[in-house]
Formats: sequence, C-alpha cells, structure tokens
Amino acid sequence: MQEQATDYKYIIEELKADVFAISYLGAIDRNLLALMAKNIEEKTAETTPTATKKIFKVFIELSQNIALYSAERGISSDSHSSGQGIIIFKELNEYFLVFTGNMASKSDVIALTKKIDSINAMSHKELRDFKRKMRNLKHTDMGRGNIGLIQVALVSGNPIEYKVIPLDEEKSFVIIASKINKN
Amino acid sequence: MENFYIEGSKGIYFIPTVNFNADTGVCELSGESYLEETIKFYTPLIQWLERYFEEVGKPLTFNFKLTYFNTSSSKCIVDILNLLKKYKDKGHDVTVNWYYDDSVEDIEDELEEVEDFMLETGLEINLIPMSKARDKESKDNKKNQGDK
Repeated sequence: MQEQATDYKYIIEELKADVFAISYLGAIDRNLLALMAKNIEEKTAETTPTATKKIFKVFIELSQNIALYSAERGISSDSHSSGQGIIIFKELNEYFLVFTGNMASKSDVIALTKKIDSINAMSHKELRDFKRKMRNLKHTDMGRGNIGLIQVALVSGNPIEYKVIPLDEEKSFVIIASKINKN
Repeated sequence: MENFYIEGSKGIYFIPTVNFNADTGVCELSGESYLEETIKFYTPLIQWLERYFEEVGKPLTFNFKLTYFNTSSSKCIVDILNLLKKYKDKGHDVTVNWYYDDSVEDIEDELEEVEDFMLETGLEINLIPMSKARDKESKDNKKNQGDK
C-alpha cells in the first residue's frame, strides 16, 4: 500500500544516510540477488577474501527471509509474487554490515524478536546443536526462517541486531542487521 | 535405469550441477545451491536415489563438490544423507566424499558444516581437499596419455 510505503520512507533514508556500498528497495527475486551478490563479491573479494564468503552467506539468508516472509508483497522481475523490502550492504572501517528491512505483522514481529533474542544468547556450540535439531524436523515443522537466522549468527560470529518501528495497529517495519568482521 | 543430469547455473539461478550415473554408481552434486524453491529442485534427486536403491541395488559413491549452499539446501542435503545412511544400514556399500576448497584461508565454517552433517546423520563423510583431487586427476590423465 502506498501509505505504508510512505510511512517507512524516512527509515530508509535514515539507513542510507551514511556511506553505503549497495542498496535496493523492492520485490526480492533471484535476478536481484544474483546481481547484488556479484557486486558484493567484486567489491570485497580482492581486499577481504575471508570475509567475502561470510558476507555472501549472510546476504543470501537475510534476503531470502524477506522474499519469503515480508508482509508486503510485490511482483518480481520474473513475474512471481515475492516479499518486498530493503537490502543495504555497507562497508565500514572495521567491518561490513548487511541490513534488511521489511514490513511484518505484529504477531510475526513478536515471534521473530523472541527468536533473535534466544539465538543471541547462545554460544557457538549451542547454535550448532540448535541448528542440527531444527534441521532434523520435517520441512513443514521447521518454522519460519529459523535455520536461516541461526546460520547468520554462526557465520558472522556476532549477535544479530534488530530494530522494530511500529507503523500502525497491525504492522511494523523490522530491520535486521548482521555485522561481519573484516579479519 | 537412466542417468540423471542437470546443468548447473551460477548467473541467476544458483543451481548446482547434478550428475547421477546409474551405470557406475557415482553421483555428484557440484557448484552452488542457493535456491528458493529447494524442495522442488531436490525431490527428483531423492526420487532417483530411491529408484537406484530399489532397481539397481549396487554400491554407490556420492561426491559433494559444493562451493556455496544456503540453509534451505542444507536441509535437503541432510535428507539425501539420511537416505544414504538407510541404504548403508541395509548392508550396501556406500561412500560419501566431501570435496572442499583448501586454497582459501577460512575453511573452518565449511568443515564444521560437514562435521554437523556427520553428527546429524551418523554417516561417515570423507573430507577431500580439492587440490589433492586435482593432483590425482592430473596424474591419472598423464598416465592415460602414457598408456596410449
């Protein structure tokens, strides 16, 4: 809806305020993911090859999260219905940042933030155990984006950061950020 | 039984190359697997393996040569490994090899991932550095040329 898009426009402007490398707003689809992944790889492969693989993995998991679970749907370039949101990739002095932002229902946000809090409280070993446990469930019982977020925490080695901005009675805009160290 | 082949793609679709050979019993999955519709892609692979176990029933070697894969693909890899484990537990000869790129500095994540696959499925997986596999391939080629 146009009104909602206008509502979070300022958040996006705020996110883009610093120097950023790559950003995108719209329906997430495979063409876009391929293009952004290629750009990220080109931008980081030479200077920080060890971080490149991690960035790529985090980027894919977080973007596919939007494609699957965003409450705002759009038509992708290959004519499929896909989640809409924003992806920002930033390079800072000590680390890289992958941000994603999308709309979600209040109930989904509660479940998501609870999930992130519990993931952030786990050690590396606990995360691996949890991932194995979740992966052994049937595809239908795996739950929304569970393993993807565990993987993001495991790969980045840093806690997942998030921010929830209420838009109206039913919807919020949720920002998830993962920090990947350069060395 | 017919062989099964899918050409992989890195540009847009992130589809791995699938090369399952019913005559030799060597199955290979290589390249990148960052699909969104993972189950749709992997179901025919699993069905082919089930048919191989039923109709052919010979030894099987599974070579994983994946450079990138997402968590959704990793769930399907576990499904394949569980299937191979069942076949092995029935007394069949099953070898699983995981080739990893040892030219990159940070391979801990990948080795940890393979260790998790082993813990999760109870199946032994041989870790083979790609440089070693390339050396062997090069020696075999030279030997074959010498034989001619």
